[in-house]
Amino acid sequence: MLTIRGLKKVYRGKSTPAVVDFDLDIRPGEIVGLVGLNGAGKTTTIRVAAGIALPSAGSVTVNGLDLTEDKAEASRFIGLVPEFPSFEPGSRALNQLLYYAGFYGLTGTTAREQCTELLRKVGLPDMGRVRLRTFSQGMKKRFSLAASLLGDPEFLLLDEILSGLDPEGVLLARNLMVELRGKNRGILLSSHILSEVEQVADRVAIMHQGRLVKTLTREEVETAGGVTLRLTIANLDNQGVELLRSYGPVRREGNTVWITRPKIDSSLINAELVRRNYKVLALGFESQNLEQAFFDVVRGPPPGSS
Amino acid sequence: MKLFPWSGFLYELRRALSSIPLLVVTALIILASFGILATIAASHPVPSTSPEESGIYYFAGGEYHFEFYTYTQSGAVISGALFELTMYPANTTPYSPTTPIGYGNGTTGSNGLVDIAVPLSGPNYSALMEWSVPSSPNTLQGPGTFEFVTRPPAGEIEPFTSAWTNTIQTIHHLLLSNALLIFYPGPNGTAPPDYQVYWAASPNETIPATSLPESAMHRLGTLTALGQVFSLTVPSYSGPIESPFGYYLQVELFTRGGQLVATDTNQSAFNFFPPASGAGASVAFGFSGTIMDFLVPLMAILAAYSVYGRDRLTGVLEGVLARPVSRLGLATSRYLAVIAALCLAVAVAMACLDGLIFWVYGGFLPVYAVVVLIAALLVEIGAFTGITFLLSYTLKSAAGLVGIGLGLFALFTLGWLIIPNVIGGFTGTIFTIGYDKTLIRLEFVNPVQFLDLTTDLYYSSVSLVSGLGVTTVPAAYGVTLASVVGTGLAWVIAPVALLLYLVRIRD
Repeated sequence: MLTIRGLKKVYRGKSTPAVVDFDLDIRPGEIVGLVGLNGAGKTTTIRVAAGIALPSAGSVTVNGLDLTEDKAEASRFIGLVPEFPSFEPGSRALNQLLYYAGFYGLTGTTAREQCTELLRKVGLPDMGRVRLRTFSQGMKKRFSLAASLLGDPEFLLLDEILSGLDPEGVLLARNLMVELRGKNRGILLSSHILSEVEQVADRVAIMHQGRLVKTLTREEVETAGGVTLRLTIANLDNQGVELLRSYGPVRREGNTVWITRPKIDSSLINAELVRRNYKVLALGFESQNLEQAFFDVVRGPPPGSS
Repeated sequence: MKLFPWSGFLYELRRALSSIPLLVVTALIILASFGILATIAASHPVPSTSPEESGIYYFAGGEYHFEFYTYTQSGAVISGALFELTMYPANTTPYSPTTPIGYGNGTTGSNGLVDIAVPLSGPNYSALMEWSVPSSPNTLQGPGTFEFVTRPPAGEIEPFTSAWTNTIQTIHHLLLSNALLIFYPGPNGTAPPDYQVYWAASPNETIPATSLPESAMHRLGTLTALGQVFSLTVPSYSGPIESPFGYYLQVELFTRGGQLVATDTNQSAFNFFPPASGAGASVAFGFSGTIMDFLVPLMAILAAYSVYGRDRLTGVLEGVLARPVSRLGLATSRYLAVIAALCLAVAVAMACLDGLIFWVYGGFLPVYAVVVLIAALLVEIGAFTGITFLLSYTLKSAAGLVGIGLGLFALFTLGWLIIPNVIGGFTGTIFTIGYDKTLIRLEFVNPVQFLDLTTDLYYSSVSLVSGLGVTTVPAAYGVTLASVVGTGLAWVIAPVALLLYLVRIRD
């Protein structure tokens, strides 16, 4: 298990901590989403959890090994994909992987075969001889993903892995995460794309201003945002909007209205609209559970919601 | 736990060795060594091509026999040299109107020898010898020799040149090798019968020369011809010797039974060793003090930047630090990789320099000089590599690191001489003893000038600016072995110690 306890990180020359009082466990076989606004402390948390940055206080342990004290051994269990991967620009992809492989005790033909296979796995099968400086941002992400899988680590720390990836890359990353979870690997996934996190995460940790403010289980995520009812009404007028507002918080765009967490069943709302001679053209539901839950946490719940 | 990432070290070593800055600067050093030594070689004194001769005479069969041997300063025999002898009554000069009473001539053969018989039987004569070498640009070599000739016992060899008291003639040559040419005829001008040649070198001339026992001399070999060249082994020295002169050579011949046959009392100063080592060392120190002093720090800064500083400040190192490697292990392996690569580059450059010195001077650098030079350059490498690594923990951008690194380089190399002049200008002590002291003290606080400290120690002298050429012992200015070694260690260890401390506490 990857355990973060009492983590605090204050950067040199800064008075405000980037992360403070942060506790989180990542268990094998689960994907934990890490979400937060810009500057919330997600990247700092991942950098410390990966052993790149030193904690100002607290600890990160993996399978009982302290990442500060037993860095070399503890890092065997952790793979990292940073938000902005950076490599020796003049190095060729396969050579760079082979260099990394050396730290895992992989050498010779074994290392070459594993590295070649990893490049194939992330969709860069013929890029081994290509210099990394010619890689696009998305290719760097894929390469970094391959590098993070060296040594078959038990835990993966993925910092904005989806940004910069093309749709095919996003699908590849998503499938890979699910596959790894199936192999009992633990993943900490930091992302701004909440819908992606929502799709794969078993738990979601929400950070705000350097603190872990809430951790939601999958069930809590699914119910946290409630249901948003979407109505498109041909002859919508202000009286109609006022009527709908009595059922819950309303947002209007033209003839379409969204009611967040309606107080009564949608069929009753539809019946009342029909009774009042409104022509309901469409009625549907939207799920924005995580996003809603996230904003509820960082901004407080919307007025009128229960 | 694996403390040192060997695979990473080897990768970084390869990377450092193939880094463009390192290759370029190493090539510059080698090119500079070629250029400088080519210049030195062009101005280096070479053996004169003027022919030389040695001569003896003996009395046999009612005739005086004059035997001459001609050779170049490289030890090659000269054939075709024409000798003419004119004999006069005793105690007369050829310049007075005296009628010659005897005459003889001859030409040297392929062995450089000529035997001229003059049919005279009296006891005392004066002789005028003239000789010329038609193939030489300076054909007429005489008249340069006028000798008083007395009749020796039959068959006994006498030197033709009266100033000499022996029959062993030595020459040496500077260009190709250190060697002796010995011309020693046996009785009646025959080849010497299996004589053993011994030699000894002394820093002082002994007048008159006294014979040394075999045990006090070095054996050269067996003399089997009238004229024979022997290669000398450069004698070992007790310390660094800059002066190219000062050794006097004594040669003796012994029978196989150890009986002394002849002693060379000529004892001319023999400058065979300094061209090979002393002058070579002087060139090496001069070269290192200028070119290497300038380029090695630059090489260290650029290599340390490209292998560590840039990676650290651009985030490349984070990708490595995420691997199973400790911070100390990563920093140490990269530091050692840079040091090893630089040492290899400097070793190649030094090997080229030593090879060129051998080519020019006929001898390699003395081991002591090599050790001192390498130690000094190691200190420079260690200091600048450590400082550059260290700066990467205090600066926030790669451009800043390059700027500060090159700024320090410029300060320590180009700008350093300004400091004592500014201090001297403010205090009015320029070209005084105080100015000298400032110069020496500044050598202790500048890694580039560490070589100057070691050079002071090597030559056991410090040149005083205030004295305009006057020198004094280094210890008078605090330059002792202990202070120099301590300074060198401090330059290497202090940046590394601070670096390792920062590695532990900073991201």
